[in-house]
Amino acid sequence: MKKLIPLFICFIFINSLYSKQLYVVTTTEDLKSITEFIGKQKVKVESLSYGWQDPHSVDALPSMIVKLSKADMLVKIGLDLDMWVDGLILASRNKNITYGAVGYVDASVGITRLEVPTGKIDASMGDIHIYGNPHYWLDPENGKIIAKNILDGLCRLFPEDKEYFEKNYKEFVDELTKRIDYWKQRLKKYEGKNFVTYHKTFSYFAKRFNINIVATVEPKPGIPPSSAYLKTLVETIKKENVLCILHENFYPLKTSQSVAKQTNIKVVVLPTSVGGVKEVKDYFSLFDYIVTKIDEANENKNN
Amino acid sequence: MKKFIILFTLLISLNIFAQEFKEEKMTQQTPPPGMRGIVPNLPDISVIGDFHYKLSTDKEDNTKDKLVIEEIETSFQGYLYPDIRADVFLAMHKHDEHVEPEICEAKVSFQKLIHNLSLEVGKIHVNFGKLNKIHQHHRNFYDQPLVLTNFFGEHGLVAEGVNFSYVLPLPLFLQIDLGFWNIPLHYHDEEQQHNEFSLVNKTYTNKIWMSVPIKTSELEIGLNSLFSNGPHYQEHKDEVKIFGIDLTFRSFFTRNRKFLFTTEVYKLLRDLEDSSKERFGYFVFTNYKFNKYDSVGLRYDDAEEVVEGLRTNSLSAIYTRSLTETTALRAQYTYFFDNPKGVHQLVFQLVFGIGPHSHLLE
Repeated sequence: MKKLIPLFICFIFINSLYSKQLYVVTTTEDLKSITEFIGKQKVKVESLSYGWQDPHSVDALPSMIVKLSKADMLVKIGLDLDMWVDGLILASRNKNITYGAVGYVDASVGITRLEVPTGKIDASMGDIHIYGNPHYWLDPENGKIIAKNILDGLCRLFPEDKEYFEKNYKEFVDELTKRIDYWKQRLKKYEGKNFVTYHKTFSYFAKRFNINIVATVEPKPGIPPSSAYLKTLVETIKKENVLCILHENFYPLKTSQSVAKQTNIKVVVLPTSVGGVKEVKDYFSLFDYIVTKIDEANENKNN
Repeated sequence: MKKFIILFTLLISLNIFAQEFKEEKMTQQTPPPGMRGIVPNLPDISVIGDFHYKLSTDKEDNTKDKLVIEEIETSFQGYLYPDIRADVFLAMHKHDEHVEPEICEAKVSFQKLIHNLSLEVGKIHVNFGKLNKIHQHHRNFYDQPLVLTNFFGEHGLVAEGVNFSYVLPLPLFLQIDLGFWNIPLHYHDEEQQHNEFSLVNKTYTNKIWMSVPIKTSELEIGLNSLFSNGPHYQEHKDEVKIFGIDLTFRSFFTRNRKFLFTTEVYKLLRDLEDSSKERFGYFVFTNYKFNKYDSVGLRYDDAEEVVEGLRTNSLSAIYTRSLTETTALRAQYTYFFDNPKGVHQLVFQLVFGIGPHSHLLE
């Protein structure tokens, strides 16, 4: 009986710790990673999509409804990237995470958006997002804005732990600032150099690190290239002295490889999210991986 | 010279509308569907088109060798009140040589009544089986599986009434649907009335829908039952019961690859005044999406028809090329083993969408 009492106390203690945890659901693994930095052991976070999936087109599954129905907070990318979650929110019947509710966090609030269409748009321009390019998490400076939105959400739901979350947020921002300086140093030699990407995923990344994206393998967002377009792309690559093709790892590789072969440059296959490859386990290692791969591919070409 | 000036002015004015992109700070949350109209009080408005061209060895098929505008659907979606949403889908359908307007679906959804209970009221694609809820233009093939046509009618199971839906608070997804419906007799002409089967009057449906995630895959199981009157209830007092099971397995891989297997099996029992009849039917569909744009599928259909002893079965091979998230080109080859016997059919389909038309979970 004496042995059972400490065990029981231990159980109560662990249970009380867990019962205080906020359950947060995110649409992507990048948001999950940042939420874990801010919430640490006071949050349990699950992502609805995998980092190796194309975030534009994730299948809405019934199991996601179960996660959302239990969620205290939802963090989404917004800007129409993860529209697939909107139907799931309704199906979850969870009022805490509906648009405008205290547990609804749109991580894009406060982001300076790139490529915002100014005129009338339609599908002749490809899969244009009306709120602009949604791949903003690939600028690590935007990671700070995402973190601030998450911090605000956590503080709304758990005001008694505000100080704890703010301390974690500050640590995250400080660490990110240091790392941004390091990544900038590593990519300094590529400033002003020209790159090609498959989709317009790396616009924010390129702007932050002062590299130029002179063309995309897709002629327009979401539209596969024709042979005529590829011919002009090959000419552009040669003319603009492009260093390499940055290829998002969920798009078909064959076309990028064919263009690279014709122009004698390399294709750098890159994840765009945490979990995109097994080495990328958090938001920091995502940029470590991207920066390292770009550097490795261009070691002898940067002059 | 005047012509040139006009042309020049026209070119200049066109240039004014050329697309430009800018940087802009995001100051608000991205509005979800139902709140996306640019003018703040407009609902979301969309248009869906479904065109096809059919080649067939069936000499009696009068829809072959011509372009058919199968359907043009417009949708209006928006909120009426916090947590109360309206979705209206109006369609122009092709019925033989005629185009007829139709309320495809018009419903008001009370998203949360109490706890996890929600309610839909109106004319609704009933949540029965896996495919019935999904509008035809969103499906992975151009035609409706034969079992749905033979058992529920040309448009599937579409009824006017109410549907209660409850998600049980369990670690796994388990939803129970109960529907109370009134189905008006839906025939476009007298000949159709004799050849086709339809459910009429008061109808009750229920579905138990559960889902089990397995690593990067998901298995869904649905158990369905329906109680209704047959098309000749007034003369023969025919009562109809339908029992069905649907299974869907989806698996996801890297590089946008996806595998789908789905099947629906139904048994229909029809009690007449002095006798009873049974019918059985099913379809099996498997689809593999091998990159962002392309997918291939196979479907096998087998369903008994309303005319006793008549059975239709066919095998289809389907290739789909997705141009954008809302527009697709499709080629579907079908071989009919029976009724019509030995017929080869090839259909080319174009499905397109303009606007933010979206459906809830499918």
